[in-house]
Amino acid sequence: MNGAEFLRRMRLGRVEQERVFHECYAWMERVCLTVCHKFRIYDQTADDIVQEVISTVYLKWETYDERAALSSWIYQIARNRIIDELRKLRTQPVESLPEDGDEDSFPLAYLLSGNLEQQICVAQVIAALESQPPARNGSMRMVDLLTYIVEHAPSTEELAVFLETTATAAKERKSYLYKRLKELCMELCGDEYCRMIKRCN
Amino acid sequence: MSQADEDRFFEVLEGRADGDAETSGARVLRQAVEARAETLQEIAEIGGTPVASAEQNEGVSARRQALLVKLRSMNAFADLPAEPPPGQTAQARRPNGGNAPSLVERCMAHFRDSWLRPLSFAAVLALVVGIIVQQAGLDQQADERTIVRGALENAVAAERLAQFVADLTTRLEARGAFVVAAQINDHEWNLSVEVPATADRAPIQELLRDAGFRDIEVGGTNKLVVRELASPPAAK
Repeated sequence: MNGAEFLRRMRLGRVEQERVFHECYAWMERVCLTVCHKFRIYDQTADDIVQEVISTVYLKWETYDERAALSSWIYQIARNRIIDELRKLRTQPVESLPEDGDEDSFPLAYLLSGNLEQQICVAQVIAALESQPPARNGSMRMVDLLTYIVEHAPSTEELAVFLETTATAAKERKSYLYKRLKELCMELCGDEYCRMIKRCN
Repeated sequence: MSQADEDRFFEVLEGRADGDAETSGARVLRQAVEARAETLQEIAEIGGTPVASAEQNEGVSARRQALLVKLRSMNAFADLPAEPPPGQTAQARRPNGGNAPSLVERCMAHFRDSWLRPLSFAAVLALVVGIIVQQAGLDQQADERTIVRGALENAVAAERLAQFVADLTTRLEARGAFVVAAQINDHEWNLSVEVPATADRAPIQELLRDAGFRDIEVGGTNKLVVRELASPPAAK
């Protein structure tokens, strides 16, 4: 069942919706757990997040845009829920974390470099980029451009080939991405934790 | 902001330089983007399409059943019109999505710049006056002999309420009834049981009778109550 089929069946009414719920439950649970485990969230917390994410899917399925993969939509819901979890973690004193647990028992936020505020900030910035549609029909979304730059470290010429444009236009797109990241960083994180760039003022 | 800052940011973002405290955000962003790409890849490897589970109707996990009960109580599963009217949004089509604002907006648009506007205002005023006059009569004593309070409720008491409700829900649904279960508090659940006219009534009645309920209506919605079994008072 793809996204279009999911929507078609959900529109058939409650009997079919419940069938979809049963058919997709195990798959959705696995997708959500994969996201949780990536953020090093396990056990009861992960189970609770799974339940909440699947609830959201069935309460807000009409907002799903079938042009995106169903799994990507579920990923976004799960990731946003995990950001909330990290925010809760921010309010916990450090002493409440286990001292002698293995590293997997700690959330990713504590394992990556940077502080928790920065982790939340970055996750929010990426979420904002994800929700942004392409500037024009057929053009690349900024989150995809960012991913390509991170994964390939392209030269300006290589980026131009990837974007199917001129070197000058590619350079402008890269500068615009930088500018947009700065704006989002300031908007979502404020100055204190915004160290995405040398200075955010 | 200089071009040098931008170049330095991309050097760290692309992994060509380690960066320092001032560019730690670029490093964290790089890690987060990589983690996102890896996660999406792993999800894609699970399979882009949900696969029908063989255990669709039996062997349902307790968590799944609990979530199903919760979603039903939140009215998540609802019948919708097959085709949305042109120009109407998906949200507006939802039965519990709240059509009131659009209705008010339509009325406003309809009466705007029309001779009906003062007439509608007068009608609303008359309605308000009528309600006030009606309310004024409420202080008269009602005839208590004509009032019947505390109609019989179809209720049973059980131990381990959530388990009882989940089991009963599963068994009723297996017999063709539609059930919505809602937890009222720690000691009480309400069940709304709808028996379609096409369903076989006898096994549903038998199941409910075994559980301790009275007979229920077919073709309508029946309200059932399950309360926690009161524990016996401790011996002195």
